[in-house]
Amino acid sequence: MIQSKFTSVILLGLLSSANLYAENWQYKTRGYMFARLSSYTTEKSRNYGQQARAQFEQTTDFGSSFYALNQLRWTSNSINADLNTGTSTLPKKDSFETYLGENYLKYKSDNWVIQLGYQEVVWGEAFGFNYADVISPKDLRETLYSDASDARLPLMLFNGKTFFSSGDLSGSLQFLYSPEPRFSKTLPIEVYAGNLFNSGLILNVEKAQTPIMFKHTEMGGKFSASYSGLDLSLFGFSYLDRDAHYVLNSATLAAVNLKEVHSHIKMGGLSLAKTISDFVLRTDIVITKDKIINYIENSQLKNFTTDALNAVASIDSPTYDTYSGVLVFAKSSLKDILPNAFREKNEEYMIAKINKDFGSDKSWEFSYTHEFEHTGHSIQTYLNWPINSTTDLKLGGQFYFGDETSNLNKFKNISSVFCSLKNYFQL
Amino acid sequence: MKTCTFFLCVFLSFPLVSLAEMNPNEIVKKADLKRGLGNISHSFNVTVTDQDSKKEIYHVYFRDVNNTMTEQTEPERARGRKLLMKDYDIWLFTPNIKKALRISLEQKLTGQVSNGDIARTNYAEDYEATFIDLDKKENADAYHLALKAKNNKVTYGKIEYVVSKKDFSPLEATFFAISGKPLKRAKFSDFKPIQGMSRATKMMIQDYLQKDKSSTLIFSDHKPEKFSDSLFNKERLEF
Repeated sequence: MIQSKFTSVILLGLLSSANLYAENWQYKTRGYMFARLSSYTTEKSRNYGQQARAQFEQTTDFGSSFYALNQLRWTSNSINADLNTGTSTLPKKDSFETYLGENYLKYKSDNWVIQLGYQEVVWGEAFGFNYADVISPKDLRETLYSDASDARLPLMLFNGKTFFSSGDLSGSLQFLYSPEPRFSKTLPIEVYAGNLFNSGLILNVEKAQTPIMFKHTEMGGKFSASYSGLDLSLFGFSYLDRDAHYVLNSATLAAVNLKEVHSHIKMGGLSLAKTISDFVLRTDIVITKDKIINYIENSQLKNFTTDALNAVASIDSPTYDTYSGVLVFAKSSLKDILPNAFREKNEEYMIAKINKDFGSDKSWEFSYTHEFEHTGHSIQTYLNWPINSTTDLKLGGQFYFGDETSNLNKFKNISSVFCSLKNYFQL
Repeated sequence: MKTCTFFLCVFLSFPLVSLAEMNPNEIVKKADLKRGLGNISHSFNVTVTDQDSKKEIYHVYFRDVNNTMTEQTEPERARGRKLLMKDYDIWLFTPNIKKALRISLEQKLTGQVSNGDIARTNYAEDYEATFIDLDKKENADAYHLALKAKNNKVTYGKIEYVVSKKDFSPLEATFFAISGKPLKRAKFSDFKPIQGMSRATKMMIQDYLQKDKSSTLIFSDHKPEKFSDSLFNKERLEF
């Protein structure tokens, strides 16, 4: 009885002291709602494509050092069904997902920061092809012409970073540890395999599950320094491949049952950004060890292990009047290749982008992507027009075409004109 | 008659003598103090309103002229955007990209307002001043100065600057690109006592050619404040 009273007194004390502190805590709730409707322009008759997203976010400042973020996300996306050529059983048009976004606690001191929980971490400097951005898994339905932030998914991480500066030199050292690897949401297998499987064969793909906590762990770090107009980062990460390779589960004459597998790989590389007059040069170079690639041999699905070298360089122009531009060149190269592999030994792309700024976040953008190995093209243009302080309207189109074997042509079914609305709110 | 001629000469040469005595770079330094707290560590807010009454609000952490960090707080779509300026290096962090990206000083921030207009306002550091020829003077109560960029890393190639002779208050500035093309014109007003000195709290910027395009910057809440080194570390922007 005495013990119970004692516990109650302690609990009351804790609650009242928490209340005293809570008076100094700052809460904010905000988020956005987004909806996009696409009308496909290919000959094949299709439904209207749809994409919808919403995010609710609560932030809490517990004084000047502690901070917490909680996000809840909801998404619906028809891209998989729209890309589907009819032989895959991957997600259908009406797939709705609700999941926790970034949820972490942060502690900040003058010279270091620690974040613990589900979070998104971005590495790399270049645009267009984010080869160094490997930490957070992606929803690959979003990556074509979406903001990278819409594609990124959170990962359970211990994220520690310490900062240093000496004269004109400043930088940081970052350490990452993940006890629970997560994987990217993949596109239909036909996008990767092309027409390597017999047409008419039904392909069933079993998605990989998130491994149980601490069964597989991931670790890595990054050293960054800035000095006299140059930013340089060196990084490495040992992790489960965010992209899948496939193994055969079972097969009949009419259907093949496959399973997604994610192997342990290592990556290392460097990023740099340099101001040259009013231009900015950005480069990412990434080497990946032990990447597994599928191929077909004698009608059988097999795989081989190889290393990959990915490099991207871009240059941003200054603003001329109200126009600015970006030119990007990207190359992905495998050390080895076998016939009928799910990708080419070398893949090269060039992106040219022009942006016109009308002020007040109003802009027009035109982007052209050229694929070199098998000639492919894609064009995207849109007008971003905030209609008031909280709502953005976007009107545009995206078109994919080229050789039948080109990667970009595999997306021809989602060539479309689109209209989207994004509304930001704060409660 | 000789005496009269002597006094007339002395009288006519007075303005020349006062110009010769006053170093134009000193005038710019004194005028800089009328637009901010000078080189002491402090923070302040900037509210930018364009010709369509669209409003953007920034909080500026100013340690010295070579270390400033600007965080946007309004509108909601832009909340959390940060701009770090260290010497002539500049990085932009946006919450959706989630990484700090190096950009050039010239890249625009909003409307008629350049990055440098908000965060790098000490002209004395970046420009070499000379007096403009007397016959070009429009206002005899003001110094008319030509500020030429010390290097091509700064926001503008040249600034024509009008500073009050009475108390060194900045009155007007016309900004030119490196190519010499006039870009915009600014007027400074609403001088209020801040930290013991009368300082301009309003800057109205108008496009040089499209006169209907304008932005008004209101500077407020100046507070002396100390900041740690890491606040001005590019790698910290994401936190």
